[in-house]
Amino acid sequence: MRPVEVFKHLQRKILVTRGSAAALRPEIDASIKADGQVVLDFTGIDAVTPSFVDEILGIIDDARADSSRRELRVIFRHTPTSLSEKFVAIGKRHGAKMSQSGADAWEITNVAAGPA
Amino acid sequence: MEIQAPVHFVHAGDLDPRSASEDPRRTDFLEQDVDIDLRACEFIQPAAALWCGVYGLLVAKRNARCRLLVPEHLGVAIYLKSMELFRILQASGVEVDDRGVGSGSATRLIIPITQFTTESEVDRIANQASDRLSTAGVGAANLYSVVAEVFAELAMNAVQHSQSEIGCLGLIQFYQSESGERFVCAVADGGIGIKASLESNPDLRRRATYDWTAIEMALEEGISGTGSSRRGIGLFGVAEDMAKPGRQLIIHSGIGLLRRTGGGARSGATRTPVRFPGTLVSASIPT
Repeated sequence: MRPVEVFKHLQRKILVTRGSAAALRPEIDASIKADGQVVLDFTGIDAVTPSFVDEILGIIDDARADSSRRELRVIFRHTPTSLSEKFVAIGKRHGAKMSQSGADAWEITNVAAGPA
Repeated sequence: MEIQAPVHFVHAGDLDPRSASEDPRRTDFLEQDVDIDLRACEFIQPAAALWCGVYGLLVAKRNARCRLLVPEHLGVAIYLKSMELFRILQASGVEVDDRGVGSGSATRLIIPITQFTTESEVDRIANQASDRLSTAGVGAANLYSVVAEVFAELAMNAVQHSQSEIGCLGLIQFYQSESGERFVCAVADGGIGIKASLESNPDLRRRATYDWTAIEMALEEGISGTGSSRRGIGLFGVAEDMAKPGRQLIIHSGIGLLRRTGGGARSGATRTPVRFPGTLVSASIPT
């Protein structure tokens, strides 16, 4: 499985808008369809806003709803910051559990745990 | 009308309420001549500079004559000029007699006062900030991401919720003082204020009774004027970021004022006699 290289796609170090997240939809959809999981690689990214992360999780919700899979595995690796309370709160809104996985990775499980 | 700034001008709450409480957002604002008098100012902080910008732009929007009287203290005048405060006001018709005031060195300014109205402008400014932080190399490099993220979140919040007729103003400064080095991110607008923004959500209307209660509500998770379950993380997230020891958060909206220092008890917002015509948020991060 190839990770989605976020900087390569967006060409910016600070990820601010929901619109930038939406530009990753095709890669996320393709990865979930093929592998049932997605790895977003944030190498080269200096910061992400809650709005950006919320939009990414929304895209993952949509991709799951469009697939037959009940559970997805999502990894954010080489994240610019450690997982803070605000990002955990966003995960909860999506029915997801977010946890720090190693020094610079977040693991997101049970995205949209409800029925598809 | 004359508004005299104090010698030590930290934020709008320091102003004399007898002169500074007229609200230039009101279409029936009657003043025809407004002087923002900084002549006696010997020290001014970013939050105060942004008040000058917002107030001056709003007065100009009402087609009243507005003058910003430049500090006699040359160092303070140079600082304000390097922040681009004079240029922004002059471009909107505010009179600023800055003769003899050089631009000075702006090395402490990561982003000078910048006017913006759209999300794409916020995106561009936040990325510019990241590049400039890396180039300037000031302060602790591991804080650059926090600084850029906090600025972006405050600026997005202002663009999305303020409904400001003058747009939004923001800055990032590396600040050196006797108490140490800090980054300051500040964003202000001349919009409807936090209370009116929350009131647009019917579920919150009865809770957002005063400006100070609205400020406190806006710091809770999931509180948003939009009513969308996907919103209401912005200020909550910033407040969480600013809860770390030594970090400071100032929110002034209408006649509500919150001043909170991280690491201690979470103080509440209070009533302040001076109205901010819109909302100002200033986040200070020690390095």
